[in-house]
Amino acid sequence: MNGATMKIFSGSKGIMRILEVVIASIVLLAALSYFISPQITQSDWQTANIQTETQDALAALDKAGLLDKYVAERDGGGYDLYNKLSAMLPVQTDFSMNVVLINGSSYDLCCSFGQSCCKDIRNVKSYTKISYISTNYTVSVLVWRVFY
Amino acid sequence: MKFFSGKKAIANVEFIISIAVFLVVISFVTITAFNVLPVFHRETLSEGSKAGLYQFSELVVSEGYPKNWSDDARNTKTYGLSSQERYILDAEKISTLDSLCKTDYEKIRDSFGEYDIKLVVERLNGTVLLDCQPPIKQLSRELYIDRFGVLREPLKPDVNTMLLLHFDNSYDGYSGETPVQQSGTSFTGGRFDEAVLVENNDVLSYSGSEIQQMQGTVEMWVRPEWNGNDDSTTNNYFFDFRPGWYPSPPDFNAIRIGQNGVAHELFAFKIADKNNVSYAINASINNWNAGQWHYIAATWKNVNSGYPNAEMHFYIDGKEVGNPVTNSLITLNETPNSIYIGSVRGVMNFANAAIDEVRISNISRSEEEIFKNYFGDIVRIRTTVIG
Repeated sequence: MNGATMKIFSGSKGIMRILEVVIASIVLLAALSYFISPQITQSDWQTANIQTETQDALAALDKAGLLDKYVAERDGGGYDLYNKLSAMLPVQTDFSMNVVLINGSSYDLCCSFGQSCCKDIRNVKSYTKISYISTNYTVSVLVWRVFY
Repeated sequence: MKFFSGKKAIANVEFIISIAVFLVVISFVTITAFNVLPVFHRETLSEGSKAGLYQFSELVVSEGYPKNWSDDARNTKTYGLSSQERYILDAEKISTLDSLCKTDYEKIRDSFGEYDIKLVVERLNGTVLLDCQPPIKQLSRELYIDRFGVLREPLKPDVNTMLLLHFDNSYDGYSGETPVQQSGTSFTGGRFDEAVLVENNDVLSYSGSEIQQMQGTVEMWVRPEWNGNDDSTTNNYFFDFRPGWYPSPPDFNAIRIGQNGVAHELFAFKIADKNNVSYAINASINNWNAGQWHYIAATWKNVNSGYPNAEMHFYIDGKEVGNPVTNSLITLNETPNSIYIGSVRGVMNFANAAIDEVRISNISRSEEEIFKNYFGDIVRIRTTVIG
């Protein structure tokens, strides 16, 4: 390094300015990359869709007189309600259904994996809960997506 | 050497570095924008489509505007498929939209806005009731949502139907049967389209010579002008099926549906056998209010079998009522050949009610079928946005 070059870097004022610019540019780039990066969040469409379809399915079952019938007959073992709901909800969903009667008693009505696992599923799965209130009972359906 | 030797040179270096930093930042911003904006744009469009799709599906499950748009489908602003009650679909609106779509898809698409849409209404067993889609298939991204409703329809003829009366501004049956006697009756708003109104001294009768005694079903919708708990001794009969004709048909060998007693409490389905012994199923209709529609159905089988195995069942609003008659020996030794709708023998016990959708069958229809005839069938409404 000759004398003239030495002189450039020996003056602290020049170095500081360059350092400032470099630091500012790093900060700028970091800030821009943070704010401009494509932050695609998971859309809530799937959840909203499942909620709408399940709500509609329960309302349709009620209007068709079937919900009262299934609740009265505790259709758990009959698979009739399970088959109906399976035909209505999206293919890649499983579900369990619980009924709370007006007197406070409750029971599981149907479940994709049979009655016994309903309670386990409530504990471990990430599900969407849809409630349907009828005159003498409230039906709660837990729906979750499965990937085959 | 001179370049780096003075303050001027330092300023130049700073300038060059600044320009470089500026260029880097601008390049970064530009490249990022080029990469990110299409993603944002696509997501915005997609979210817009989803919001639009949900709105379309809400419109489809609504009544539409005007509410009775099926009367003038070409001047409709919104094509909704529901009847007055949410989730209860209107069969006429579905069939009108299906017909219109086949001739004028553009009209339907325009009512939904900027998107091409597909509409499919089908039963859960896959029977398609409405299939409305663009005349030319498009290879574009499709997004759909399923909604559900219940379709309640008029009774339909099948191989077991012996007589079907819709009373849609005509007394004739589905297969062209004409009344043997009709006087005084009129048409009024029905459960489906029009109904017949049978009041005091009105007579409506048909030939029932082909109807079987051994087994059968009678179904009809009725809208009485009286309350179920009216303190009245007036009897009201909806159906009377007996041998012979006025003025002197015997009371035995007959099948009847109606109320006969104080305060309308003995609403019954009765069969009076050859010895005039009555087999009856009684039901309470105290909760009936004037002006409300109710669906009644009566079934019988193993009559005239010669064994004590005859059965009778009675249904109101899709559900079995009263105690069914079972294990009985019921014999009718004369073919009932006259059917009176809304009276007994056309001379007494007038129904004072609107009557619609009378169907007489030669089989004892199942509880499940009768349940479905009243409550309707669940259908899927799939709305799809294309592109």
